[in-house]
Amino acid sequence: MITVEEARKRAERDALRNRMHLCPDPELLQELLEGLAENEKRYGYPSCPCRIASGNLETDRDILCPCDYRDPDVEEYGQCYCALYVSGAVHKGEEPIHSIPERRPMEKQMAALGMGEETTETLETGEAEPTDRKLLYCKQCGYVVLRDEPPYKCPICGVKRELFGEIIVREIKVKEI
Amino acid sequence: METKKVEGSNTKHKVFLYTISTCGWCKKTKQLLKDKEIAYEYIDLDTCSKEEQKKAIEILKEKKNPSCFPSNRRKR
Repeated sequence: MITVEEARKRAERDALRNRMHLCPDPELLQELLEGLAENEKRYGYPSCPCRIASGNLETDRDILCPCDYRDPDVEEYGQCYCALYVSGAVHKGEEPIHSIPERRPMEKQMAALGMGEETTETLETGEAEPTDRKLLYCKQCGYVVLRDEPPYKCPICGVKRELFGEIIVREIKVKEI
Repeated sequence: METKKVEGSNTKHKVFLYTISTCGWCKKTKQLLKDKEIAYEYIDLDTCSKEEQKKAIEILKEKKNPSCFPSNRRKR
Protein backbone atom coordinates (compact mmCIF):
# COMPACT_ATOMS: atom_id res chain seq x y z
CA MET A 1 0.00 0.00 0.00
CA ILE A 2 1.30 3.47 -0.80
CA THR A 3 0.55 6.97 0.41
CA VAL A 4 -0.46 9.84 -1.85
CA GLU A 5 3.02 11.36 -1.39
CA GLU A 6 4.66 8.12 -2.45
CA ALA A 7 2.40 8.00 -5.50
CA ARG A 8 3.46 11.59 -6.28
CA LYS A 9 7.19 10.79 -5.99
CA ARG A 10 6.80 7.69 -8.16
CA ALA A 11 4.94 9.68 -10.82
CA GLU A 12 7.50 12.51 -10.67
CA ARG A 13 10.36 10.05 -11.19
CA ASP A 14 8.57 8.43 -14.09
CA ALA A 15 7.71 11.76 -15.71
CA LEU A 16 11.34 12.87 -15.48
CA ARG A 17 12.63 9.63 -16.96
CA ASN A 18 10.20 9.87 -19.88
CA ARG A 19 10.72 13.59 -20.53
CA MET A 20 7.16 14.39 -19.46
CA HIS A 21 5.57 16.50 -16.73
CA LEU A 22 2.82 15.99 -14.19
CA CYS A 23 -0.59 17.64 -14.46
CA PRO A 24 -0.17 21.44 -14.10
CA ASP A 25 -3.52 21.78 -12.27
CA PRO A 26 -2.53 21.14 -8.62
CA GLU A 27 -6.09 20.27 -7.55
CA LEU A 28 -6.61 17.76 -10.36
CA LEU A 29 -3.13 16.32 -9.78
CA GLN A 30 -3.88 15.76 -6.10
CA GLU A 31 -7.18 14.05 -6.94
CA LEU A 32 -5.55 11.78 -9.51
CA LEU A 33 -2.79 10.79 -7.05
CA GLU A 34 -5.39 10.11 -4.35
CA GLY A 35 -7.26 7.95 -6.87
CA LEU A 36 -4.09 6.00 -7.67
CA ALA A 37 -3.33 5.42 -3.99
CA GLU A 38 -6.96 4.33 -3.44
CA ASN A 39 -6.79 1.86 -6.35
CA GLU A 40 -3.55 0.42 -5.03
CA LYS A 41 -5.23 -0.07 -1.66
CA ARG A 42 -8.33 -1.53 -3.29
CA TYR A 43 -6.80 -3.84 -5.92
CA GLY A 44 -3.18 -4.16 -4.87
CA TYR A 45 -1.94 -2.30 -7.95
CA PRO A 46 -2.19 1.30 -9.19
CA SER A 47 -4.74 1.04 -11.99
CA CYS A 48 -5.74 4.21 -13.83
CA PRO A 49 -7.97 6.37 -11.58
CA CYS A 50 -10.18 7.35 -14.53
CA ARG A 51 -10.99 3.85 -15.77
CA ILE A 52 -12.99 1.01 -14.24
CA ALA A 53 -10.67 -1.79 -13.15
CA SER A 54 -11.82 -5.41 -13.06
CA GLY A 55 -9.75 -6.33 -10.02
CA ASN A 56 -8.09 -9.05 -12.11
CA LEU A 57 -4.46 -8.12 -12.70
CA GLU A 58 -4.21 -9.83 -16.09
CA THR A 59 -7.26 -7.95 -17.39
CA ASP A 60 -6.09 -4.65 -15.92
CA ARG A 61 -2.40 -4.93 -16.82
CA ASP A 62 -2.67 -2.44 -19.71
CA ILE A 63 -4.17 0.24 -17.44
CA LEU A 64 -1.60 0.05 -14.65
CA CYS A 65 -0.30 3.59 -14.32
CA PRO A 66 1.62 4.55 -16.40
CA CYS A 67 -0.75 2.78 -18.76
CA ASP A 68 0.16 1.31 -22.15
CA TYR A 69 -1.65 4.20 -23.85
CA ARG A 70 0.17 7.05 -22.08
CA ASP A 71 3.07 7.51 -24.48
CA PRO A 72 1.04 7.68 -27.72
CA ASP A 73 -1.57 9.88 -25.98
CA VAL A 74 1.04 12.34 -24.68
CA GLU A 75 2.60 12.44 -28.12
CA GLU A 76 -0.70 12.94 -29.98
CA TYR A 77 -2.77 14.97 -27.50
CA GLY A 78 -0.16 16.38 -25.12
CA GLN A 79 -1.57 14.43 -22.17
CA CYS A 80 -2.53 10.94 -21.10
CA TYR A 81 -6.17 9.87 -20.70
CA CYS A 82 -6.50 11.03 -17.08
CA ALA A 83 -4.05 13.96 -17.58
CA LEU A 84 -1.64 12.82 -14.86
CA TYR A 85 1.18 12.97 -17.42
CA VAL A 86 1.43 15.89 -19.82
CA SER A 87 3.80 17.25 -22.47
CA GLY A 88 6.07 20.24 -22.01
CA ALA A 89 3.68 22.47 -23.99
CA VAL A 90 0.73 21.58 -21.72
CA HIS A 91 2.89 22.01 -18.64
CA LYS A 92 3.90 25.51 -19.77
CA GLY A 93 0.24 26.39 -20.41
CA GLU A 94 0.70 26.73 -24.18
CA GLU A 95 -1.92 24.01 -24.69
CA PRO A 96 -4.90 23.31 -22.42
CA ILE A 97 -5.71 20.08 -20.57
CA HIS A 98 -8.82 18.62 -22.12
CA SER A 99 -10.85 15.50 -22.59
CA ILE A 100 -9.22 13.10 -25.05
CA PRO A 101 -10.56 9.98 -26.79
CA GLU A 102 -10.12 6.61 -25.11
CA ARG A 103 -7.36 4.63 -26.83
CA ARG A 104 -7.95 1.44 -24.86
CA PRO A 105 -9.62 -1.05 -27.23
CA MET A 106 -13.36 -1.56 -26.65
CA GLU A 107 -12.88 -5.33 -26.11
CA LYS A 108 -10.57 -4.60 -23.18
CA GLN A 109 -12.97 -2.02 -21.74
CA MET A 110 -15.81 -4.52 -21.93
CA ALA A 111 -13.65 -7.32 -20.53
CA ALA A 112 -12.90 -5.16 -17.48
CA LEU A 113 -16.66 -4.93 -16.90
CA GLY A 114 -17.09 -8.67 -17.32
CA MET A 115 -18.97 -8.04 -20.55
CA GLY A 116 -16.42 -9.37 -23.01
CA GLU A 117 -17.39 -12.69 -24.53
CA GLU A 118 -13.95 -14.23 -24.32
CA THR A 119 -12.92 -13.07 -20.93
CA THR A 120 -16.13 -13.56 -18.94
CA GLU A 121 -15.06 -17.05 -18.06
CA THR A 122 -11.62 -15.83 -17.10
CA LEU A 123 -13.09 -13.29 -14.73
CA GLU A 124 -15.41 -15.79 -13.13
CA THR A 125 -12.77 -18.41 -12.56
CA GLY A 126 -10.20 -15.84 -11.53
CA GLU A 127 -7.62 -17.56 -13.67
CA ALA A 128 -5.14 -15.63 -15.69
CA GLU A 129 -5.89 -15.25 -19.37
CA PRO A 130 -3.17 -16.87 -21.48
CA THR A 131 -1.12 -14.17 -23.14
CA ASP A 132 1.39 -13.99 -25.96
CA ARG A 133 3.96 -12.29 -23.80
CA LYS A 134 7.51 -12.53 -25.00
CA LEU A 135 10.90 -11.26 -23.96
CA LEU A 136 11.70 -8.09 -25.87
CA TYR A 137 14.82 -5.96 -25.75
CA CYS A 138 15.78 -2.47 -26.80
CA LYS A 139 18.47 -2.71 -29.45
CA GLN A 140 19.85 0.67 -28.42
CA CYS A 141 20.22 0.39 -24.63
CA GLY A 142 19.56 -3.27 -23.86
CA TYR A 143 16.41 -2.73 -21.73
CA VAL A 144 14.52 -6.03 -21.48
CA VAL A 145 10.77 -6.34 -20.93
CA LEU A 146 8.21 -9.18 -20.87
CA ARG A 147 5.15 -8.00 -22.83
CA ASP A 148 2.80 -8.91 -25.70
CA GLU A 149 4.13 -6.06 -27.80
CA PRO A 150 7.05 -3.65 -27.45
CA PRO A 151 6.34 -0.45 -25.52
CA TYR A 152 5.51 2.67 -27.55
CA LYS A 153 9.02 3.83 -26.79
CA CYS A 154 11.83 2.60 -24.57
CA PRO A 155 11.30 3.89 -21.01
CA ILE A 156 15.07 4.03 -20.49
CA CYS A 157 16.54 5.64 -23.62
CA GLY A 158 13.38 6.87 -25.36
CA VAL A 159 13.96 5.12 -28.68
CA LYS A 160 10.83 4.16 -30.69
CA ARG A 161 9.26 0.66 -30.57
CA GLU A 162 10.60 -0.28 -33.99
CA LEU A 163 14.01 -0.68 -32.39
CA PHE A 164 12.81 -3.47 -30.11
CA GLY A 165 13.67 -7.06 -30.95
CA GLU A 166 12.54 -10.38 -29.53
CA ILE A 167 14.80 -12.57 -27.47
CA ILE A 168 14.36 -16.13 -28.66
CA VAL A 169 15.12 -18.60 -25.91
CA ARG A 170 16.42 -21.89 -27.25
CA GLU A 171 17.63 -24.96 -25.52
CA ILE A 172 21.31 -25.38 -26.12
CA LYS A 173 22.68 -28.85 -26.07
CA VAL A 174 26.18 -28.93 -24.70
CA LYS A 175 28.41 -31.49 -26.25
CA GLU A 176 30.07 -33.66 -23.70
CA ILE A 177 33.80 -33.75 -23.98
CA MET B 1 -29.16 1.27 -8.36
CA GLU B 2 -26.84 2.50 -5.65
CA THR B 3 -27.40 6.14 -6.51
CA LYS B 4 -26.56 9.17 -4.42
CA LYS B 5 -28.47 12.43 -4.41
CA VAL B 6 -26.96 15.89 -4.17
CA GLU B 7 -29.37 18.68 -3.36
CA GLY B 8 -29.33 22.02 -5.16
CA SER B 9 -31.62 24.98 -5.69
CA ASN B 10 -31.68 24.47 -9.47
CA THR B 11 -33.97 21.52 -10.19
CA LYS B 12 -35.01 22.61 -13.68
CA HIS B 13 -33.37 19.57 -15.31
CA LYS B 14 -33.03 16.02 -14.09
CA VAL B 15 -29.30 15.39 -14.07
CA PHE B 16 -27.92 11.89 -13.64
CA LEU B 17 -24.20 11.15 -13.79
CA TYR B 18 -22.30 7.90 -14.14
CA THR B 19 -18.96 8.42 -12.47
CA ILE B 20 -15.83 6.78 -11.07
CA SER B 21 -15.04 7.70 -7.46
CA THR B 22 -11.28 7.90 -8.04
CA CYS B 23 -11.47 9.97 -11.23
CA GLY B 24 -10.35 13.60 -11.07
CA TRP B 25 -12.53 14.59 -14.04
CA CYS B 26 -15.62 13.07 -12.42
CA LYS B 27 -14.85 14.99 -9.23
CA LYS B 28 -14.48 18.20 -11.22
CA THR B 29 -17.87 17.64 -12.85
CA LYS B 30 -19.54 16.99 -9.49
CA GLN B 31 -17.93 20.15 -8.09
CA LEU B 32 -19.11 22.21 -11.07
CA LEU B 33 -22.71 21.09 -10.58
CA LYS B 34 -22.44 21.81 -6.86
CA ASP B 35 -21.00 25.29 -7.52
CA LYS B 36 -23.86 26.01 -9.91
CA GLU B 37 -26.28 24.67 -7.27
CA ILE B 38 -27.70 22.16 -9.72
CA ALA B 39 -29.44 19.21 -8.07
CA TYR B 40 -28.17 15.89 -9.42
CA GLU B 41 -27.93 12.19 -8.82
CA TYR B 42 -24.92 10.01 -9.47
CA ILE B 43 -23.62 6.49 -9.22
CA ASP B 44 -19.94 5.64 -8.70
CA LEU B 45 -19.52 2.61 -10.93
CA ASP B 46 -16.21 1.48 -9.43
CA THR B 47 -17.72 1.01 -6.00
CA CYS B 48 -20.99 -0.64 -7.01
CA SER B 49 -21.61 -4.32 -7.78
CA LYS B 50 -20.70 -5.96 -11.11
CA GLU B 51 -24.42 -6.35 -11.82
CA GLU B 52 -24.97 -2.61 -11.32
CA GLN B 53 -22.00 -1.88 -13.58
CA LYS B 54 -23.43 -4.09 -16.32
CA LYS B 55 -26.87 -2.48 -16.00
CA ALA B 56 -25.34 0.98 -16.35
CA ILE B 57 -23.23 0.02 -19.37
CA GLU B 58 -26.32 -1.45 -21.07
CA ILE B 59 -28.00 1.94 -20.63
CA LEU B 60 -24.90 3.78 -21.86
CA LYS B 61 -24.45 1.54 -24.91
CA GLU B 62 -26.25 4.09 -27.05
CA LYS B 63 -23.13 6.20 -26.72
CA LYS B 64 -20.08 5.85 -28.92
CA ASN B 65 -17.92 4.93 -25.96
CA PRO B 66 -20.05 3.59 -23.11
CA SER B 67 -17.27 3.20 -20.59
CA CYS B 68 -15.86 6.73 -20.61
CA PHE B 69 -16.69 8.78 -17.54
CA PRO B 70 -18.15 11.05 -16.35
CA SER B 71 -21.15 10.26 -18.49
CA ASN B 72 -24.68 11.56 -18.30
CA ARG B 73 -27.97 9.86 -18.96
CA ARG B 74 -29.96 11.29 -21.82
CA LYS B 75 -33.23 9.51 -21.23
CA ARG B 76 -35.03 8.98 -17.97
